[in-house]
Amino acid sequence: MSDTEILAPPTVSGGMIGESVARPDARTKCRGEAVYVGDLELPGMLHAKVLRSPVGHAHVERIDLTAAARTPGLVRLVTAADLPSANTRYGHILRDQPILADDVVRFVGEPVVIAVAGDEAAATEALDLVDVSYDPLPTVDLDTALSPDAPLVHPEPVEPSFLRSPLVDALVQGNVCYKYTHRRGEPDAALAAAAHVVEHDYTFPSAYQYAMEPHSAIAHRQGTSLSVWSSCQHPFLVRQELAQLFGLDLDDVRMQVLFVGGGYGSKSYTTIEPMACLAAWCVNAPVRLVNTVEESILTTRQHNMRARVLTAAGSDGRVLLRRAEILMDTGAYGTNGPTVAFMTGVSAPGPYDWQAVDVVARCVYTNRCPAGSYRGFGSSHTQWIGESQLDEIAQLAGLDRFELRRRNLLPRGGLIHSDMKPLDADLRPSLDRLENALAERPSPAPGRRIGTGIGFGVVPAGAEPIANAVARLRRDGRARVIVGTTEIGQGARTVFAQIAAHVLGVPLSAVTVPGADTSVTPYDRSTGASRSTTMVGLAVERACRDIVGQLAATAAHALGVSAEHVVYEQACFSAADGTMLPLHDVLATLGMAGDELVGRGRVGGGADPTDSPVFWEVCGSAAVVEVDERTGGVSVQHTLGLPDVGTAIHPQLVAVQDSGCTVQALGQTLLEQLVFGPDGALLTPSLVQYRVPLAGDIPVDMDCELVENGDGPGPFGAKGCGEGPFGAIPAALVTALQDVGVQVRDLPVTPERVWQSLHDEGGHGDS
Amino acid sequence: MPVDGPQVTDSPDRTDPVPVSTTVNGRPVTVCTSAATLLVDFLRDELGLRGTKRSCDVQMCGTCTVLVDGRPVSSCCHLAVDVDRRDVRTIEGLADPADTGNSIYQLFEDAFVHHAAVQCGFCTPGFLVTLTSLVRDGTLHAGSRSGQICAALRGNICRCTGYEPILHAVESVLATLPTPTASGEQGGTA
Repeated sequence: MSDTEILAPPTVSGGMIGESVARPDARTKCRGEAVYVGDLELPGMLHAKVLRSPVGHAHVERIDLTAAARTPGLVRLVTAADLPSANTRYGHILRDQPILADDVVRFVGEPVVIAVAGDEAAATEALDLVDVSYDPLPTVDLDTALSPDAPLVHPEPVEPSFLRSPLVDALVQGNVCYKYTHRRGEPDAALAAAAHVVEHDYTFPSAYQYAMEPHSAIAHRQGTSLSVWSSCQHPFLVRQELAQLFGLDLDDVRMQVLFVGGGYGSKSYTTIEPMACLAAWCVNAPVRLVNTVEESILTTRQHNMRARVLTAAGSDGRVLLRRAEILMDTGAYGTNGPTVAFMTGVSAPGPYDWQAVDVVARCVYTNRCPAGSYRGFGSSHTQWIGESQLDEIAQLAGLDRFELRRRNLLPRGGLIHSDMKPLDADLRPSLDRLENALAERPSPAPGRRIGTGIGFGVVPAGAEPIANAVARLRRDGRARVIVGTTEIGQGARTVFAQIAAHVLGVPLSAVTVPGADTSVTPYDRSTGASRSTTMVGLAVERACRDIVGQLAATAAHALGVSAEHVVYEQACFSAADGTMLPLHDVLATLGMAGDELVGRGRVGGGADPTDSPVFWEVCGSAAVVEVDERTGGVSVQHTLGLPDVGTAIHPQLVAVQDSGCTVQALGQTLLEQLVFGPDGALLTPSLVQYRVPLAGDIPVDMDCELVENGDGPGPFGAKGCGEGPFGAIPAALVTALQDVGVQVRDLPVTPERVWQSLHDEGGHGDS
Repeated sequence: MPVDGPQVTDSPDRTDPVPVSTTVNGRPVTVCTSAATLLVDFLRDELGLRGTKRSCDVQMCGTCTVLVDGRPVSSCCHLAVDVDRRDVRTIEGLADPADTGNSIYQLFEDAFVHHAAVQCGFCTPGFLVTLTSLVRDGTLHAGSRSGQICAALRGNICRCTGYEPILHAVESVLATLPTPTASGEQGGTA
């Protein structure tokens, strides 16, 4: 590589942060050139399909493979008997889930047999000939699981796993796998002092995240090591589980993640990788396992919930007590359920200044398919209930709903949970902004009603204050950022490239960010909890500053000053006396044939904060809805989102996170619901029955105004986004419906429920 | 144990080979394929055209949209044998820069990039195939209103963007097209 190939430094540096650059991956994705796991073709690759239980709870008496084994094209049938190690269970909090059912199936859809064949059709054909005898056991659901004589989903002891934490202390007792309790203040005294009390029962449905790329994995065994390509969000945590299941060292499991076709939590933690690996362990070839969407629904879904919630307030509208008794249905296996229940408990009070809080949330095993993470979990489950009760209190107290909130909104530094970092954001200006936005109410057409509502999403974000990054700057000015973050559509690679380009003083086009590969990229806990820009972005900034430091040392030597007196700006090193050295002159001192500088960036340790959460992701939202009195149809006229991102590194990507999250939350509130039969069979198994928002369902007007106070813990004062509206939007829609007299206690708010509520008006009220 | 194609030919119900002669992205293709092969699998697995994605399998999501004789179809619900003697165009064909007939596609690609209408990207090729054909056949034009655009896109699901950036991208492209004549689709103030 000759000096003439050195890239010109950018004419303007110091830009980039706050610039909405074009995503480097956008054109590739448009043209269908972006490679997802399901697009990979490895030499000799075989295909796997999974036989799933048709019953909700049963002893597996016998598996007869005789007829199936004769299927042309079949390579191997795999059952629980083929497990290579004594570690037969996985799960990051509770080790309760088998790769394949051994003696018991616990939900309709539980994997029982894997067929590996030359193509998927042959594998499917073989599975049709597998004969499994089931001896049915009684099933439980959320209504029956806690009764004293309820059959146990897991009568055998369940071991804790590697992510059980003091904060989320999961312990199986009966059918409860985790119990969250938070009491502070004096709940009974607060209730006794109340002038106004509202208490109701609520239900929250299970939704399906529907990442459009179904769960996909390819596994290849080479001796005693495994290479895995997976559409997963958290490759390092999946690696941990696979190593444990197969009795391997962490470095003997290599996880690679290409582009991921959406996640929203559905690809967090371990899903189908153990099955792909078990199949590959049994045959001497790469094995590809790609779910259908119907199988992906059975793989993970959102927790449905039942809750009894109480709000007590004084005659002045000051909030005294929030009490909540919450049951979360995690299905047959815990997966991330304990964390989801914890977050739900934490979110139940909302961002208000309670005199007392009394919240219990139980995570309950049932005979349904397992539930896990879904965007903004916890806040999505409870914020709509909390805001709805505040509006009821406002009405009882004869106060304006904004005035009531103004009297109670937590200030910066206010306490949300006794054991967690205080609120690190200012909500008051957002409340004022929402009030202004809703000041003028459009007048409805005859037979229509127009209501307005507001909500706040307050999500404990960041997961863990640890991240690593490596940056490499080559002699020719090209840079690579090596991180374990996965690109699930959120634009992480774009934002990291911006940070690197900004700090290094090179053009954005000179920076590439490849995918995660646990054998190459440094450890990253997970891609979720809105943590990537904040935590990994900070590590990227530090890695690039490390390189600039190394360059500065060389520049200082050339300029004849000490390194601490060298300033790096506009891709130029300068000394106090005005002498300057451009970046490419310093890079020219590196070795000729592609030499590079390597920078390390670490977050965690030293003076880095260890608080939990890393930050509170907050978002205020307003909604204007129109209700058709005749049909109960709801049309969302306007939404306004105020996501607080500290500093927007890429304002356009933040805005489209807000619009995407808003519409997904709209689906959650108005449309989406997985329906189960009495034995736990899914009655809404495909996109035909499970209705997600289409282009025609979105709000007529959608606005997003970023809140930027430069106060985030991430790079340049940034903090994460894209989950807050999942708390705020359902709350805004529900309070908007309540504003026109529609009583909402159960989601989704279907036209039937709206119509029913309107026709119950003037009747019995709380039925 | 053999692992590839030939050993499965003795299962007559699904593997009876049927000859298919078609044109895919302008290239003549003559092959024998199973009568049960879906068009999406034929394109992805037999022709290696993996820009066409597979998601819902029930003709709801639009990720697998391809053009058959210029009309958008869900290749997950179309048999490969049904494109015999037809013209098939996939995202690879529409996005081929060597093909000068792809100016409409290019407008949409530019607009999707500019409006951040691409996130995870799994649905994006399907949207672009649909949109290109809807403009080519006159369904969408300079006078199309947002309700018409939404209706035209009801067969394409996106879970990331909330559609808003996609609609902005579409509107920006349609605004650059010539206004239809009075004899064509009505535009403007209908």
